[in-house]
Amino acid sequence: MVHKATAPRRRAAAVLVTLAVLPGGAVAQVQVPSSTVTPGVFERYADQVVKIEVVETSSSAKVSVGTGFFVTDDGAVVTNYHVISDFIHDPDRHRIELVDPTGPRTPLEVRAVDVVHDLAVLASRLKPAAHFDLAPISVAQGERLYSLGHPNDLGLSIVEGTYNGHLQHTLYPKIHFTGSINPGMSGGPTISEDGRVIGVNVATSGNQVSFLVPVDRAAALVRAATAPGYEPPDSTLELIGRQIMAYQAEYLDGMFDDSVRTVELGPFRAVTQPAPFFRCWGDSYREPELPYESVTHSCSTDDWLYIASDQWSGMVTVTHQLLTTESLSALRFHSLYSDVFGEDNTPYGAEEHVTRWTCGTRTVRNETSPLRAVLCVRRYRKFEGLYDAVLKVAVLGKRDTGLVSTLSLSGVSRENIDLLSRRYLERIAWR
Amino acid sequence: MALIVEVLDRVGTVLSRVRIGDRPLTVGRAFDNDVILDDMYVDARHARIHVAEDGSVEIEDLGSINGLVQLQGKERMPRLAVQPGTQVQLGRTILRFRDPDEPVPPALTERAAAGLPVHGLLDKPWWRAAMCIGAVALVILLSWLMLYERQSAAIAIGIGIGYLLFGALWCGAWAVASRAVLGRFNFFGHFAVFSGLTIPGLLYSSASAWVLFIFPDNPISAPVGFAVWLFLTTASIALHLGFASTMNRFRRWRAGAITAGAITVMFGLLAWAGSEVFTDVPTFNAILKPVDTRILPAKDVAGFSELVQELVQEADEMAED
Repeated sequence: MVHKATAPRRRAAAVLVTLAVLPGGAVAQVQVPSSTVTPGVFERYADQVVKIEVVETSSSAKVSVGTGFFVTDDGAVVTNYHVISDFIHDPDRHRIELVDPTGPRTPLEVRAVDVVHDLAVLASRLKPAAHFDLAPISVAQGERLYSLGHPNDLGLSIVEGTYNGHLQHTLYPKIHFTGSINPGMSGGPTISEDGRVIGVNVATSGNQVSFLVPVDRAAALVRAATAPGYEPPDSTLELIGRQIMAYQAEYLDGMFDDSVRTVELGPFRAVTQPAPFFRCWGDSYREPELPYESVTHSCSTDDWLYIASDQWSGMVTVTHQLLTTESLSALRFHSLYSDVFGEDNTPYGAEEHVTRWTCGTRTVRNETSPLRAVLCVRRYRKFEGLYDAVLKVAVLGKRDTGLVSTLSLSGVSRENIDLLSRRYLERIAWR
Repeated sequence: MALIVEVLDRVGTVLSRVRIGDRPLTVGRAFDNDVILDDMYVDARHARIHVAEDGSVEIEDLGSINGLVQLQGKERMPRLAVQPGTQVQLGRTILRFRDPDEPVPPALTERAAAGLPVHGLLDKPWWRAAMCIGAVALVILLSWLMLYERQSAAIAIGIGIGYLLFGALWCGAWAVASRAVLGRFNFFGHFAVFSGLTIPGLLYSSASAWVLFIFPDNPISAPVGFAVWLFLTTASIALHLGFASTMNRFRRWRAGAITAGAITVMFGLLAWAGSEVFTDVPTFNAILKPVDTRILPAKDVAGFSELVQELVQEADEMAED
């Protein structure tokens, strides 16, 4: 008993000794800076970060809260587009205000918007004593960064975190910041210890996984908005429509063309991983005594555009579901096939933003196979020429095997619906 | 001139007939009258019918409270000469005078004599049984063909039992109505009607699914389906009424058509009210059937553009509304 009790105690003593012999300076470099540097960062840069509220005029109460930061000496503020989107969609019923907890509220005007990168430049009549510089800088993975903002409207806060490079599956670069960005901090800056902006807080997926818009995008927008002779757009919504149109033209260019990768599913071949910014997943459903098997292969973009609190755009998904049976008769297999084909996997839509779906069904024959194709289309009410489209395809001609394939596009032009539908139909084939 | 006096209730059903002889007849509610009227608006001794020396017949008010009213004239009369065809109202009863020499039609068969229409196959016990069994079998078979789960057969039989229970409730309600009107339930007759119409209904909907698969989005299926629905609903009401009323064929089918029309209007209004409600769930034809694909009218992929343009234009029109 005595021996067992003393042995661990001796080991603990040994660890203490080891720590004690470490050079004191080394320990200080690892642990002390965050607790001594952070207050300094906060003190130096808090003045340049502001709270932004969108106020509903009839109730005089806020509908959204976000963060912004000064970028010029004549009071221009950078924030996220999504912080002020209520104002953009309904400017008659909203106003944007800069809120200083100690001073008066200052009205803000929209100077420029970049819906693709979720950025906005607002003009105030304030003359800040200091402002952030948006010069691009390079940062090493793991470098400590500080994010400033108003989490949940609780007052200006500083959050420490680390830089973890750019996301790998996005069409436009986004910075992966490991730190707790919370709602309300959107539009705030994430800076280095010496006050250089790395990115603009934009999103989180929880557990310290947060995302920033790289500073060069904000710098480009500020440069454009402060250039001599620049005039803000008459209709911000029209400008946003043009930005979505240009965005879809760019990222859909060449999609599903002859170079697209294909995947083999049972006797079928269909497209997969249409572009590097897609991610693909697979799953299968086999259960004992169940008279059929189902295998699913799906790919979707990670990117999406925030347009309004209940409208997103720019997502593309491709889903293939292979159905096979050994025991079902042809009639019963086709009941299953019809039900799977008839499942609704169209994206959400709000009445304010989109029309109802209008659908049509056709039999189409490509080089190898007869296909049943259903196309559903709905238009964006506020953006002429932009649509959501869902193409569902079933390969016909087998008594016991079928493939249901769905292509879902959001915020695309009629030319792209036409072109991509046809390319997609061409590329579903019997092996 | 000898006459017959008929006692009618207010809706025209003949309650009794008495021959007028040489002797005067007394009419009233008291039991010692020659013509006894069961009517609270008639006096105990209400009127007298007598034959004059020249053979003419006359009815005379005996000072009753509600008097005699000639139907055509609507006026109260102290006395009235009557001939074949004359109708006189006493209280709520009508006396109609008829010529005893009037010919009568030959006797009807037993069923028609009881006031019931003739139903053909629906009256033959073997056919009834065949229709009931056939309908349940068809319900179970078609359900089973639509199912692909582990317990498909059990579920299909469950659906068959559900169909029978629903039929029992529906036909039970008709049977109760028949009992009230005709004094007999006719439950199996009603069940034969229910089963007999289920079969063409199910066969039509199955056939229509095949047509919709081969010719998707065709403009004919919907109106034909509506016409079939209208016909089956009309026929259902008309045939059930055959077992539940004494209406003639024309009135039964008219009642069926009115009911079907009313249901159509109701659902039409509901659909119209619902058409304004926004939904983000699409409706489309997803029917797939195992047919030889060579018979399917198909276009090449380039032809798909036509549909794209059509739908985009429709969506534009919706957005501009």
